[in-house]
This record gives sequence, structure tokens and C-alpha cells, in this order.
Amino acid sequence: MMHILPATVIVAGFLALAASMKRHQRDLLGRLLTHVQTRSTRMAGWFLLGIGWAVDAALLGPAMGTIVWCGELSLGAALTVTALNWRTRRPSR
Amino acid sequence: MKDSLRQSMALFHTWSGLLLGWLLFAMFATGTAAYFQDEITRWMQPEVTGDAEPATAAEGAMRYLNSVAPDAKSWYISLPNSRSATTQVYWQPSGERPAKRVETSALLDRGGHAITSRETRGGFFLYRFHFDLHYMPVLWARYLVGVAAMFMLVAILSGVITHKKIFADFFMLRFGKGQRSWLDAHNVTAVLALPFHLMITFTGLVTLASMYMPWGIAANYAEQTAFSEAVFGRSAETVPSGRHAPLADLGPLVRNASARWNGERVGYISIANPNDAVALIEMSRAPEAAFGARGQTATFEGATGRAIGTHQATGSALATESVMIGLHTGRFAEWGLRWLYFLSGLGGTVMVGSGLVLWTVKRRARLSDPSCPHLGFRIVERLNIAAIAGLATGIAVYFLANRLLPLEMVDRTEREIDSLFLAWLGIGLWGILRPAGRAWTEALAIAGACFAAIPLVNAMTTSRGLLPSLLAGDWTFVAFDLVMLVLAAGFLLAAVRSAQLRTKAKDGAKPRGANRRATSA
Repeated sequence: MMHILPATVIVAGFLALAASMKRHQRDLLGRLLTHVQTRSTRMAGWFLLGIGWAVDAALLGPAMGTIVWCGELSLGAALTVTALNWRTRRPSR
Repeated sequence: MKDSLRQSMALFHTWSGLLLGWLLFAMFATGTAAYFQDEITRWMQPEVTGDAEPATAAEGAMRYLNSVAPDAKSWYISLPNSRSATTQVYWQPSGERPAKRVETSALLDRGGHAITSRETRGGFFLYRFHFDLHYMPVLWARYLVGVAAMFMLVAILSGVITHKKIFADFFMLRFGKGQRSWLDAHNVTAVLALPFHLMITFTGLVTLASMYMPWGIAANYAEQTAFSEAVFGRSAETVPSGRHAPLADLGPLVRNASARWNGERVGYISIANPNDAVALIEMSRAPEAAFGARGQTATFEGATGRAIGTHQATGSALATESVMIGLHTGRFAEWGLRWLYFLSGLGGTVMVGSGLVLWTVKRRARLSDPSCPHLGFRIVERLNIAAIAGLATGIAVYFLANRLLPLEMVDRTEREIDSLFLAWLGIGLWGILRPAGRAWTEALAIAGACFAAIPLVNAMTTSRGLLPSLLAGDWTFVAFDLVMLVLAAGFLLAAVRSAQLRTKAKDGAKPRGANRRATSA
């Protein structure tokens, strides 16, 4: 259960990072971001990933927190990839 | 310069990955299963229920060993951890003649009674196969596994250089696009769990490093035993005095040792010269209690039970090794983190599997005559079927055999293991005899059907089927059956997709990767 909060923060972070990439902006936001918006979105994404680490470290201590954070990064990224590609999945058959 | 580096890395990545990919797939798959080895063992011993307490289990083990091998050279007791309920004991007989392993080991329930019905090696077999393989000398197997792990490490590093768009394509997973989809699946499973892959490969090498590179120890210590004594506090073999002296009760000693480690569990007990006046009892802290897999031991005089001392591994090199082994095996992980370990391992398995398939998909497009590929291509294609669908079917059949073989069968443990390899061989032969495209569909369907059969057979042969387990809140059994169903769905879906693609290719569409798997497990 205690993975839910940091994992949510991490997914939000990855979504922001995806939104800072041009190729995903139309799918995610429906429009292209300006240069400044892109940069701040990217910074927000990295910042959220960092917050995820801080939450884990606060809950479990820095050593265990870091290990759990690595696992949650993988899971969070996998969820983000699934969500993104589910939405943009085009009928190809 | 940059491009030539990338090209040579790509060549290196392709061929090192292919050569050892089949072995790596098996190592990844069984290693992933081994994260749940205690749960698998529980599922494979449905007659054993409840939890076991180390001190009681130690007393039970002592009663058992006193009755079967009171004058053995040594006893070794592996106590139940917080996830298991059984005690494993081994002994070294006093006679000169080395005995067969089955005659000198036993699995006990928490009361110290040998479990003789439904004999199985359970999840422990999958764990040992991960680095000892089977049907071959352990030493050779470990060297082979070490070479594979080294190649894996190299393949990961060269892979990051080869797949240059790995980070730009971080979020890309395009479906239904043939080779592009395979590349996406390979990249995504690789990059998402990259920290895990790097960690697991490197620490895997570290677990057997002193075997692969023994020269550091050899240069500094005259004997391996002297090294063990200096570093782990393990005492050298002593000569029995010949004077009989009954062993002190183990229960209180287990509690005593546990209290020295702030209440952490005792994991293993080894006893030299039991029931002799010079008997020595050594207890090791359970690996699940800390990151470091090893390090803390407590020693007692066997006859009196007097504490001789505790040993704490010191030195940064030893601490580093201990933590790395701990990270690799994940014994410290609570259930949430354990699932993350399992999912990352599954990602690694898919990464290796999709890499293997990618090799054929990429080359199929370039074949001069796709209907009649050259010999090398055909070999790789068939070996892929054997390695991926074959192993999956083998593991499923291993679980099925556990439920279906007669309970009192002679050498049941070995027959269970044989059934895994027979099924694996069967799929391998099937893949050779059938046309490759069809063989993929059929082999994947067989794997899926075998996994789907497991919950059914479990419900029919035991009283711990999915529904009763759900009602009883027995989450280990519920989760096991559900994972089997998920695997079944994955393989069946893959079989359907590969069949669809084959018809599409036949209908005159541009032929491409007839053997793709939509989802994989």
C-alpha cells in the first residue's frame, strides 16, 4: 500500500516528461507547447521523480527508499508507456 | 568514429546476445520465478499449512537428526523463514563412503517429522536451476552461467550504445508494425527496468566472483579454510574426541542468538561433530533480516550450550559483497518490493525473448527466398521456439506433475524434474518437425493451455483450489493460481496473434515476422 503515493508521483513525473517531448505533445495535450512551456514541463517531470525519491526515503530510510524507488521508477514508467500507447493505439489491422 | 563505434557495438550486441540468449532466457525466467521460491514451494506442498517458528523448528530438526544420524560428521539445518513453513536438513555421515544426496537430506514439517508424501524440490529447484542448471556438473554449470552473465553485462552496455534512440523512444510502444513493434518491445522492456538489469547482472556475477576469480584469495591464504575462518569466523574442521556427550537443546540457543541480533531470525544452523564432547554449533542470521545476505554468526559449545562468541563480518569489501548478494536475491524484500522484483525480472525475460525473436524478424525481411531460408536462420528460428515456448511449457508441466504424479511414487522428486525437461524437449522436437510459423502458434498455444490447466488440476486434486483459497483468505494460493491464469492468457493471446499474422501473410500482404508474439510473459 505504501507504494501508492510515491508511485503516483512518479507516474505524474513521467507523464510530464512525456509531455515535454514534441512527439507526444499532440497526443497528450492536443497541441504543441512553446519552448518555455516545454522546458518547465521537463523540469517539473524531473522534480516529481525527485519528490518520489524523497517520499520513499522519508518512509523507508535512504537505503531501502532508494531500492524501492528504483522498482517504482520501472513500474511507473511501464504504466505511463501503457497509458500513452493505449490512447494513441491506432487500429492497424 | 562515432558511427563505427556504434556499428561495432551493434555487431557485438547482436551476436553476443544471440549466442547466449537462449541460456540467458532460461536464467532470467527461472531466476524471476525464484523470487517467489518459498511461495512456489508452499503451493507444491499443499498438505503443509501454517507458519513455523525457528526455535520450535530447530528442536524438531534436532529430534529428527538424533534419530537418523546421531553420530554424523556434521549436521546442517536450514530453518523456515517468515514465508516458508518447512525445515531442510542435511547431514554428512561419519563413514568413509560418500552417500547419495537423497539419503542424507530430508524436508521436515514444523514438528520435525519428515515429509514423505508428495516429495518435491518445489521452488528451490527453479532457484538452483537459475545458476546450477541440471543434468551436468555444478562447477561447469556455474562457469557457463558466469560466461552468460558476463555477456549479458556486455550486451546491456553495448545495447545502450546500439539502440541510440532508446531514450528518445522512451515512451514508444507501437503495436502491429512487425519489426518496429519487436524493436519497441525490446527497447521498452530494456530501458524501463535498466537499473534492475544492470544491478541484477552485475550482482549476479558478484555472487560467484570468488569462484570465477579465486586468485585474490589464493595469493593471500594458504588454504580456503583459513580464508573462511578469518573472514566469516567459520571454524576449521575439528577431529571428534570420541567421547559421547549429548547435544545441548537447540531451542533456547536459537532464542539466545536471536536476542543478540535484536530479535532477527536465525536462518541456518551448522553443527560439527554432533553428540561429541567437542561438538560446535554455529548459527547464522537469516538473510531476510538485512540487505547484507551474510555476515552475522553466533557460536556455541555443543555439549554445554555455552556461548563462545559472535562474529560480525567486518571490512568494506565483505560488506559490499554481502549487500550485493542481498540485492540480487532480494530476500529482505517485503511483498510489495518482491512483486516489483518479480515484474522487473519478467521485463528482463521479455527483453531477452524479444531480442531473440528480433534477430529472426530482422533477417527474414532480407532473405532472398523467404520460403526457404538458409540453415543458420532455420536453426535460430527453431531454437527460439524451443527456448521460449519450450521452457514455459516445461515450467507449467513441472507444476502439473506436482499435482498429478502418484503421491507415494519412488524418486518422485526426480520424476517431477524430469517431466519439466521432457516437456521442454517435446516442444523442441515439435518445433523442428513442424513448419516454423505453425510451430510458433502451436507451441505457444500448448504453453498457454498447460498454464491454464494448473488452477483446474489444483482444484480437482487438492482442497485448496482458487475458490476455497479465496474464501479462506489464503493469498499465496490465490495469487499463484491467478499468475498462472495471467500467463495462460498471455501465451494464448500470443498464439492467436501469431496465427492471425500468418493468415495475413498468406493473403498476399507483405510477409513479415510471422512469429510475433503480441504480449509475452
